[in-house]
Amino acid sequence: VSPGRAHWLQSPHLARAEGGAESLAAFRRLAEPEQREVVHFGDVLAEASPALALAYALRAPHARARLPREGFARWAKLAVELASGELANRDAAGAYLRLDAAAIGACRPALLEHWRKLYAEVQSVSRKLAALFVEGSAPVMAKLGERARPRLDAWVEAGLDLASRSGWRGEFLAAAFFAAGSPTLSVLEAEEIPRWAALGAALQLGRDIGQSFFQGLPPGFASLTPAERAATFDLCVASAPRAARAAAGLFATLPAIAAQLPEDARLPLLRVLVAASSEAEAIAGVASMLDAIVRCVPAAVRDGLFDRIARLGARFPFCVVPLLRSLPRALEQAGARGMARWIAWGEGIAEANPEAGRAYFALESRTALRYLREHSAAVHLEEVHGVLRSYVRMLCGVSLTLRSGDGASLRPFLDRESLERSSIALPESVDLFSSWEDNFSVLKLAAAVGVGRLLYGSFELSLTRVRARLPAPLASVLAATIEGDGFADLLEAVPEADPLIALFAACDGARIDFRLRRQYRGYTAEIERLARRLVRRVARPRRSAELVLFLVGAGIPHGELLTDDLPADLLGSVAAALGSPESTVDDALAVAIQIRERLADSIAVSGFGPPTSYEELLFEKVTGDAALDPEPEGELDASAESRPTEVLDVDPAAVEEGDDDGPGTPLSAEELRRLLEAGAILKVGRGAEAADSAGIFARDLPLPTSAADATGEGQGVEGDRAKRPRRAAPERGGFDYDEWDYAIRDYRPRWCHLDEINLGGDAGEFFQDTLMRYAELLPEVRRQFQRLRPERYRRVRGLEDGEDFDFNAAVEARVELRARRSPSQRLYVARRAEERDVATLFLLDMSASTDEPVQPREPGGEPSAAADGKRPRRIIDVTKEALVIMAEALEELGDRYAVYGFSGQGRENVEFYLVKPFQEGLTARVRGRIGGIEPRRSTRMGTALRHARTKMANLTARSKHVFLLSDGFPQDFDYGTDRRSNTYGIQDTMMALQECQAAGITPFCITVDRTGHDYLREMCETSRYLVIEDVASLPTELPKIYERWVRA
Amino acid sequence: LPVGDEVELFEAAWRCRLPVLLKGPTGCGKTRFIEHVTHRFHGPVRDGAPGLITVACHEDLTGSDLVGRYLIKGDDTVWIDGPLTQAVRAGAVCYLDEIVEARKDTIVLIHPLTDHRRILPIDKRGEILDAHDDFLLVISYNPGYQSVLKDLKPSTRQRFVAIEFDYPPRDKEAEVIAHESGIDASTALELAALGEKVRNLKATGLEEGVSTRLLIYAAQLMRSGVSARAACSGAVTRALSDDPETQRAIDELCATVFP
Repeated sequence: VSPGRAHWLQSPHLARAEGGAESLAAFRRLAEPEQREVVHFGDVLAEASPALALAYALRAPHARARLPREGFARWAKLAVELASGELANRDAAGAYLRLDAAAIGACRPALLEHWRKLYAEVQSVSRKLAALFVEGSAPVMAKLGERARPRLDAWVEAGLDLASRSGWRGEFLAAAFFAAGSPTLSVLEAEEIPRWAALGAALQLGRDIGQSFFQGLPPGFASLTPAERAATFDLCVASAPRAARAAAGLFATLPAIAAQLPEDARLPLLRVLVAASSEAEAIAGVASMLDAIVRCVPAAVRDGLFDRIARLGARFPFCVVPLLRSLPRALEQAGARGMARWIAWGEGIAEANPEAGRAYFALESRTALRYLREHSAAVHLEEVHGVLRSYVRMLCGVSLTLRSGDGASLRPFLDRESLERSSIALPESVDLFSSWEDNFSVLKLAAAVGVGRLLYGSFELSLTRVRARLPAPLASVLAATIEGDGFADLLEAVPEADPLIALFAACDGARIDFRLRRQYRGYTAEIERLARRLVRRVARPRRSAELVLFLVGAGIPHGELLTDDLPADLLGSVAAALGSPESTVDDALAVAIQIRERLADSIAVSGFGPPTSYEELLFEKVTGDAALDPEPEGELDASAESRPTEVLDVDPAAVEEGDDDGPGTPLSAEELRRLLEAGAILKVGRGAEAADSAGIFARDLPLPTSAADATGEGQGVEGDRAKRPRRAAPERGGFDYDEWDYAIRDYRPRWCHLDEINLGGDAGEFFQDTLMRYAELLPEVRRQFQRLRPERYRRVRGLEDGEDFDFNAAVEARVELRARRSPSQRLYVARRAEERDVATLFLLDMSASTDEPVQPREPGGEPSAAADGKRPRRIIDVTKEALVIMAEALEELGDRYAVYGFSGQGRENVEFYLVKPFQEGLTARVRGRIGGIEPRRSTRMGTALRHARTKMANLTARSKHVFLLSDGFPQDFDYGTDRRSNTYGIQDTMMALQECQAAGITPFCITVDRTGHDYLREMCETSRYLVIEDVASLPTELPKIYERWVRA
Repeated sequence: LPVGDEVELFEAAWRCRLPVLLKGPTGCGKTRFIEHVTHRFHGPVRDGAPGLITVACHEDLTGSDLVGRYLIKGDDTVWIDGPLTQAVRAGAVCYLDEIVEARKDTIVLIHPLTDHRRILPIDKRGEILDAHDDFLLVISYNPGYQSVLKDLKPSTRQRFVAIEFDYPPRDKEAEVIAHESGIDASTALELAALGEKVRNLKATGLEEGVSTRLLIYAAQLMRSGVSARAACSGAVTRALSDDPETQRAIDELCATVFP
């Protein structure tokens, strides 16, 4: 035993160290020559450092036991080399000795030699880095073998390159880079390593991002293919210089998101994002929704669509993210086929006006929505609502509400609300065929069946009677599972996922079709035509039970219908049971239960619930978005000349196969939330009727309270949100109006929300006070207006026929005759009734600025004071006084008039105060309300004017007028992006005024703002506005203006 | 084709020479009815004068239009009797169609004719004309679409025996259609069903339901070779409404009834 050996092999530290006892035991188990080898190298090491020798003692016996002689020698020699000699680096040696010796020793000598060279290279730069190199690289080398060589080369090169940059910072970076070696080297390919390093170097933004970048690869990265990784690098590298923080965030999150996507969708989507790489912040904002967005695109068109979007991004990167956000909605509206045209059109817009292009793709412009609709064959319930409602009313004689339900169906949905017999739930849209008329037909037939349910007693279901029609075992199951006897009990007891209700709807629909066909020849022809098309387009094996039952009801011979699951005899008995004139809803349910028993899990065995054995029962299968075979006769595609269309016109038959998450599949809450954020489920809140199941889901969701919560990325998002159409909450009443954006030269649809607010008032004191105050003026005004009042009858002279002679004319005619000239025939007079038929709406600006005291006209003039003399008279007070005088005068004249005020804050909260509607007379309450008018907040004139137009739309008057009384230009905090600029508001108000004019309402603007000329000239013609310089004279002036401008 | 007791009622009124008010929607056969009963009870011609004098009232119908006026003929001024005066003199049935359309001052003219006095004052000639024994005043009135302003005053209404008309039930209407147009019974029945359905739309989309007259027109068009859908579109849809949405809805209904 050499003296040095006492420090390692025989050291008491070894025995006490963790694993030391095992090592010693392993040493003792070794044969004599092997022990000697171990001891030999140990002694050499001990000379350099006893501590290293101690570490060696913990590894070496095991290594020797597992390695051949040469392998062990290679390992041990390397250890010695690291510990002493020209490459000596104790840290590196320590790290080396902590690694798995057996794995290193098993490496091929050439590789080890190469590794040693690389080590030497690093060592020559920095001893610290060399230690990290050893730690990071050796395990990889052991794991990958020869494949590790190029990676190690790249790694060392990139690491040393990092170290050579910017002094000590570079050293730090390189240290972090090398430290991450072992987890990253096994993932990254040789050519990816420098990209990773370069990206890390580009993202040096303070300590937090910079160092954490090299801590490891982002989650999910390992599962991406090289091409996908390359795209990720492309995206992040390209966006790093402009928005390093966003790029870092993207690199950290995107791989995990991409990894969740369907594999064939990843790369196309990443390419899209690469195209938009200049908008990294926006991409970061949309990242969390990508999954939901991708899943709403049918698999078959995905490549083509994303490719198209990528090409769009190449020209207009800023359009990509808005487009992605609105993609679900756009697809829903236009269908996959219409997208290419829609995008191409938007490209044209973006070319002319980038801002307009962005709004177009965000579906924030009216053009975008209109274009989507026009170029799609899809029929939306919303657009045919009026027609169908009238149709339904004619069929059944009562008014029914048409609701939109979620999903696709050939039949109206059966839900609890249907039981009230006051509504029919129809699919929100139908996009089965390539022609609008055919799709409309589907909806119309469904509506007819909805009526048929009422007429032919679908709701008079009796489960007792159904049981009597069923075989005994099924009857007893039914009795056991469902309490009660009625329809509601059935819906209560059968879970939604069970196919029974859908089957029942299909059977009952077929029964109703039999009845309707008996009654209406036209119905027979129409449903048969439609059924024939469906038969041609949906191949037999892909027909769902619902479709088959629809075809049975349409009278298609059974021979053409039978499928594996529904053989001819079954179809025959179904048709017999449903088709007889006496068959009732009970028969339909009995048939449905029998079919369900046959197709899905037995009810007798497993009760009701989603079937496990028969997945094909999914009802959306045939009725879903694009699950149809291509039309055999060939679609006449008028727009075949546009190349992008062809790209997307992939065979729609393939669409449904790979697309499990087609339309109609329930969404998870998370997906729903994302789609909501993306604006995809806007229809949920569209009107009170849309209280369908999705609406209920949506209400239960905790919606993000602020944009920052929703996306996690603060900057750039605020502006983004401000640019999204408002999301209507279903329970919220009020009115939505479009708004004109001059920047995009288009309307932003449903942009502003307006609520009508009842105005509290005083007890009429103000009104009385004003009357007193203007006691002298009033009689004068009254007299003026009395003169205006027309005579009830007016004598009309010079008629060829009339009540009486016009004696003057008769005498003249006599004279003419005597003079042998031909007399005039116009010898009669008549009395004609004249009526004044005028309606005028006074729209009052109640903005905060009307709180200003009235300035006397000249500095030395007497200060105006309110009636009580305590506070100064404000603009609003004068306006109110003018209204009082006007109201009194108009009562005299008998013209119809209304008074409304408006104010508000932001586009979500436009307030419209009801002072006096047209129907209400000048009652005490109205008088009180005039007194209660007070300054409020902002001035969003356009929306208020649009609402005034709505108010007057149903008024029959020969001439209609709106008087806008204001004290300044239109203004609101989000009236246009730039708060300081009034242009947006002025332009919007101008459009609103033009809309009024187009609706037959003559607007007139009166302002007390002396600078009013400047902007009023832009907003309307010179003859349509008046600036009143002296505010105090408004009460005297207003009646005169009225008299002058309002013509009967 | 009597639907209810309208013929008996009219006959009784005729015997007592009580003025009659016919109420009912457009094209349900009021005019047809009055022609029929005049023919039946009064006779088509009496003393060379027509048995039935019909005046279609309009907004500018004045008293002198009804009573008569002076006209200048060459050098002379001639008095010409108005239709009402003619009927009063000759003892005809005077039928004022859509009376509410006439001006209010016109309506009061008929007041003295409709009570026990049975006189017609002609103020321009200072003459008071006693009605002929066989004179009968019949007015019609459509309570449906006229505005509130144009309602009959109670003082006018309460001078008449009212007979209310409505569109006949489906089978009767089908009979009428078949008879008037010569179309086969099943198509007539379908047309009647169509009419019944379209009338459901009254007050929501339409001011007035489709009249029997229009249905007959449609049947006549069909009989002369026009396709059922085109005939309905022309005679029913376009005639009823100008609103594209309502038109579309009615067209859809036609498509449901006729192949």
